[in-house]
Amino acid sequence: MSSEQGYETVLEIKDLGISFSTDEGDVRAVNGVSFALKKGITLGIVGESGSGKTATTQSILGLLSENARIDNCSKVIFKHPQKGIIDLIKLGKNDTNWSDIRGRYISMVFQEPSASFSPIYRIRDYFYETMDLHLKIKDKNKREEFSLEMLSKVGIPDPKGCFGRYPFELSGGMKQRVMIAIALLTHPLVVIADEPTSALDVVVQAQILLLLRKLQQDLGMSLIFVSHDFGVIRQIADEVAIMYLGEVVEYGSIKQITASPFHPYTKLLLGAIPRFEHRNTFLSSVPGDIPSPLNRPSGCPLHTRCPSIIKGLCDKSSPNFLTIKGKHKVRCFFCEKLMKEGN
Amino acid sequence: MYENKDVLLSIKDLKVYYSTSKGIFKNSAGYIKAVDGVNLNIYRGQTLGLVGESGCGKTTLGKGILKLVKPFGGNIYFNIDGNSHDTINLHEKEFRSFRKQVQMIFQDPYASLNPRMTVRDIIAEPLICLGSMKSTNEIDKKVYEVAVMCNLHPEHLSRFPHAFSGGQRQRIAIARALVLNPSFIVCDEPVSALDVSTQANILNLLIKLKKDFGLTYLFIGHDLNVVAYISDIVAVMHIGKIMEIGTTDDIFNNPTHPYTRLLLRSVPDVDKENIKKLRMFSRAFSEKFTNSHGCNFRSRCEYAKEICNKTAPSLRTLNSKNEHFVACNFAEDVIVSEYFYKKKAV
Ligand SMILES: Nc1ncnc2c1ncn2[C@@H]1O[C@H](COP(=O)(O)OP(=O)(O)O)[C@@H](O)[C@H]1O
Ligand SMILES: Nc1ncnc2c1ncn2[C@@H]1O[C@H](COP(=O)(O)OP(=O)(O)O)[C@@H](O)[C@H]1O
Ligand code: SF4
Ligand code: SF4
Ligand SMILES: [Mg+2]
Ligand SMILES: [Mg+2]
Repeated sequence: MSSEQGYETVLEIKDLGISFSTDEGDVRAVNGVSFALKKGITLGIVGESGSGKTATTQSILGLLSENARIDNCSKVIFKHPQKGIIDLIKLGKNDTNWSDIRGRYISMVFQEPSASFSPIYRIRDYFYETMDLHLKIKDKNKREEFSLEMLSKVGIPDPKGCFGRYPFELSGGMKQRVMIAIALLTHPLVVIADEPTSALDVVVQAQILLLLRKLQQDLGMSLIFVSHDFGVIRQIADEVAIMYLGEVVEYGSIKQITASPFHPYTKLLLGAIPRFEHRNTFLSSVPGDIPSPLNRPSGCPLHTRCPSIIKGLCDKSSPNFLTIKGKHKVRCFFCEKLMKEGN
Repeated sequence: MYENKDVLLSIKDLKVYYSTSKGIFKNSAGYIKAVDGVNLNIYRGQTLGLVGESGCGKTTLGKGILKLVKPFGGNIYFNIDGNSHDTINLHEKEFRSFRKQVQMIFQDPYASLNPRMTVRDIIAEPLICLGSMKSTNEIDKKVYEVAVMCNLHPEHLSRFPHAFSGGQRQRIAIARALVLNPSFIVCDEPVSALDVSTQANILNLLIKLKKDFGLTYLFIGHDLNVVAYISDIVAVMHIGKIMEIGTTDDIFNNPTHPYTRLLLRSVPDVDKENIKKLRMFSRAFSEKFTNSHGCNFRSRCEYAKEICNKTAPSLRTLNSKNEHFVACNFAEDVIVSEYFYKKKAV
């Protein structure tokens, strides 16, 4: 594994392609996505709904639905602390290797905390289950002590009380904190958070973002944070991948992307955010509607809506990544042209 | 407040309560005070933004104003044709004319459209139920006209809602709301379920329609950027009560209620890392509608003092312009302390 600027790569996705077969035909959800997640770094994935964010993250832990088909060339390379390099794509649904990866070294936080809890178990049952599976702590007092410590770390005001409750007795924000506590209990190397704050109110969202950021830094974990909200990504991510119709179209540090976006789609997305200072001006919006994933456009996926389209080129061939500076990369013919003219 | 402007709707001490059965998860008082004594003026041609966390009573207030839920108390005066009508005591005929003047657009463009009706029939339905148009030709013409206004393709009119994306469905809902030429529309989180680029389309459309037809909006939202962007006046709601109201400038540049300040500080800014500055004093929102004594924000408030447990503050003005109202016992202290906080933070 390569290391860039002293950061070690913990997880690497290479040429990920995912199709879902449906009654209406094949849905190409992810089309050639590659990125490397470095230790201690938060990678933000931004894109509109349907851009393939969830499918990408679910493929890492083998959680895709039955009708999903992953390309043969795709790889998800995980550096297991004991077992060395494992390609997670090659693990079957019931491979025993999953037991000490899922929920142990790689854990997940979902958007809907309610959907991830069953109403018949108390909060403490979830903690004990995770500990039984992964931490082998048998002593009852130790288990409780360890759990309560984690609950107070995520800002639960009354950990002991919360421990004995059922999930439905907690508010959405509290449930999300509990889910984060459980996800972090094993001190995983990688946490995947798929829109973890999208269902929450703004105050709770801010608290959860602060909390995740702090815990991620304290524990030195790597975090993949998925969101459709650029403002949220701005607060938490070190690096960002912008996705459109299953492809990463631009990648860079959060500052590079927000301060000097290159890709026409990134620019449109940023321009579409209403800002108080720009009231009374029209918002930029991506023209037209997102094409159906059942018939993806040829060439660059944005060409049906792109204001900078180069006719005869963008609709025919697919641009490659072009490095702008450091980590900052973009896939766009128009940007290529600009760079050439600039030089 | 804003005396020289033209009041379209005047809401006085509106209360909407939901009764609940007793039980461990319901409060024992037997009802939820979803809207608890709200006073508001809505001015013709303006957009009043209403913000607050989910469950604070925004939708109920919108429905209460349109009489889609039965108020427990209070009055709503609606000014049409130079006359003020108390909508609480409308006769059948007056009520029909009121219903034509006011419309509501809902958050969920998937749930709010009947899946078994064509787009044409969905848009035409209010015309048939409440309108005076009889001939199919006339109705088709009107439907076509509003559909085009809302950037819908006329050839889509014969399709069913499931064939459309979220943004297109919301445009269908807007077309339906416009078909009776209303003067007032409650927009209940119309863009909350949409992606940012689609959201931009809908906001642009709502702003254009308002200008073209002199519409008046009550715009409900939880995204403060969106509300700031579209509103002339903003009201901040917390557990059934208005905490602060003022011009958009007042609320965003000179927020005075501790709750407004907490909300504003929590908004993630896409242009800079701002959440880090959030002071974590605030406890989470809990829906406690039982205790009607005292300020309903006190359990989350860093400025709360003994008196806040007993006396519920009412809206009062702090500046001579009489435009900016705050319901807080210690608003003056908040201003001073925030001044020092700002200085320290620099
Ligand atoms: N189980 C599935 N069956 C069929 N299509 C699916 C399935 N899951 C996702 N898709 C499709 O794949 C595309 C990407 O979906 P998703 O990864 O959920 O996007 P995002 O998380 O960015 O909103 C969408 O077009 C979606 O409709
Ligand atoms: N039909 C109803 N019956 C009982 N309680 C309701 C009903 N509708 C809303 N509520 C309650 O009233 C309060 C305010 O709800 P709502 O007006 O929907 O808030 P918001 O729109 O701000 O999220 C909430 O506590 C909610 O649970
Ligand atoms: S490659 Fe062409 S169509 Fe695609 S974003 Fe660039 S200019 Fe637009
Ligand atoms: S009245 Fe008291 S509790 Fe309420 S906001 Fe003001 S200081 Fe806080
Ligand atoms: Mg998703
Ligand atoms: Mg609501």
